Amino acid sequence: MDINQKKPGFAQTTFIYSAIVAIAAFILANFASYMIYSGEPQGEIFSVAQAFPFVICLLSAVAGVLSVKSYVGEVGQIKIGTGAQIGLLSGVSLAVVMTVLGIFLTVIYPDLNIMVAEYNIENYEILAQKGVIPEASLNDVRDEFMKQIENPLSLSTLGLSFVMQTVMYSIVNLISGLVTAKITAKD
Amino acid sequence: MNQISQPTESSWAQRNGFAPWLMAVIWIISALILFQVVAGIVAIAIAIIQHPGGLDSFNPSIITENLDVLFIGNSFGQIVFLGYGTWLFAKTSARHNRAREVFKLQWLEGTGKFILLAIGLIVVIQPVIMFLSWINLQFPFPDKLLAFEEAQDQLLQNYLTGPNFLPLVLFHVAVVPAICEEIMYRGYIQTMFRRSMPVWAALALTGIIFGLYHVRMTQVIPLSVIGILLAYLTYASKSLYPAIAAHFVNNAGSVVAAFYYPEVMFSTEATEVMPPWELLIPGFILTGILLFWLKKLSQNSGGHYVQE
Repeated sequence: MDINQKKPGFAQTTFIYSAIVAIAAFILANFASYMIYSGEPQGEIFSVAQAFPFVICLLSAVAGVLSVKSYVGEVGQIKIGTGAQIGLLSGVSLAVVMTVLGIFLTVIYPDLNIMVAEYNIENYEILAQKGVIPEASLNDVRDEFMKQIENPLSLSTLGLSFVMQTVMYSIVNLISGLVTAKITAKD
Repeated sequence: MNQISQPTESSWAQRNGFAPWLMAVIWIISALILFQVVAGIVAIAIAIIQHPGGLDSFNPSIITENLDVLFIGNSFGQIVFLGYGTWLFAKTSARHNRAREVFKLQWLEGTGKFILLAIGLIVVIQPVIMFLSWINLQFPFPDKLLAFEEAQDQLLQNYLTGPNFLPLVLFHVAVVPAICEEIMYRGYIQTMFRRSMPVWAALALTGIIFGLYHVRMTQVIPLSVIGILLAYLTYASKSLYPAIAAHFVNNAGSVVAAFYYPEVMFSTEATEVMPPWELLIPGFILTGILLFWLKKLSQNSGGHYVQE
């Protein structure tokens, strides 16, 4: 197909690939969370648990790659701007699907949230014992996590989480979509 | 009067299939991240240099105690990214790399009149803005967010009422934001949205993003309305100068008022109480009259260049 010819839309293909990647990333993220948070906290400021969302975010770049590759397979060569657009849509789709899955998991398995909160509180208590953080800040930390346990589906928590996920996944997938379009154009 | 030449060659963004709205989104996110990160780094670097103990005895609270350092970092980030960065990025969306074409930095026949009207509008709309601030505060916000915004307010209040040189405060709070934010929002973002969507959607979206960019949820409605007003001024006058003038007057007015009348400016009545009707009704009427006048002036003005 000629590059300037009218092409079919990419929304459906993008959403399907993004949903598949989102489900895979969600299962991986929660499995890893379960493994990490069911253990004993070591009193670390920077731990694997904190780095994991970023690892998942980087892995989610696959959605942009797959969506662009699939669309290129359908229509032939595309411009890098279209690749970026597909990537951005992949990022937004990922955030929507992962937020919906997150709400679903919180409803059917609320214990995971409690486990995460308790792990973090214990971790901060160890940090306070070591003198890394002031004892006085412990109550604020406890209050914050207790709020999360009491109301894990509050509008502010969900809204903030959705905005953060949308921004992170969009940036990563926009870049991966753009780069994939560039590479496929060279091929 | 010479008519501007219309280059026919397409921009880099067009040649590579980037939709104008996508370019706007890419730059909004990039500029915000770069601005926040670099402004923070510059502020910390200056604080470390100024601090007698150097890096060894450095404590982050030094920055909040030396607010001029924080504002130097902020101005540096605005000039480098929101201003100059936008200028460079806009070259990707301009034919023949001519960023001026995108920004509407042009002096037309009626621009002088539009500037006067813009200044008048931003003055008479203040009671309406106060009313919108009050409405915004009626929304239930989480305590943590309110505490964070109160801390931000306190920092600004300390800076405005502190023993600072007024022209320097005006430079940080009025001159730099008026030029840099206008170049980015009304100059670049609005033009890109305008190329992708109807006028009303482009103006509304530019204004709302401007409101959200300040990261102040308790002020998002009045800030968005100011953003939409500045967007409409740019659209109606076909020039960026009236919006720059209005933005400057808005910010400079707050600085001067806080400098000379801090007890009035930061009183509870000024921020948390609904403004009196005797102020609100004239505010709404005068704003309506000036907006109508602006529309008429826009319809009567041509698009000829007095000075390119």
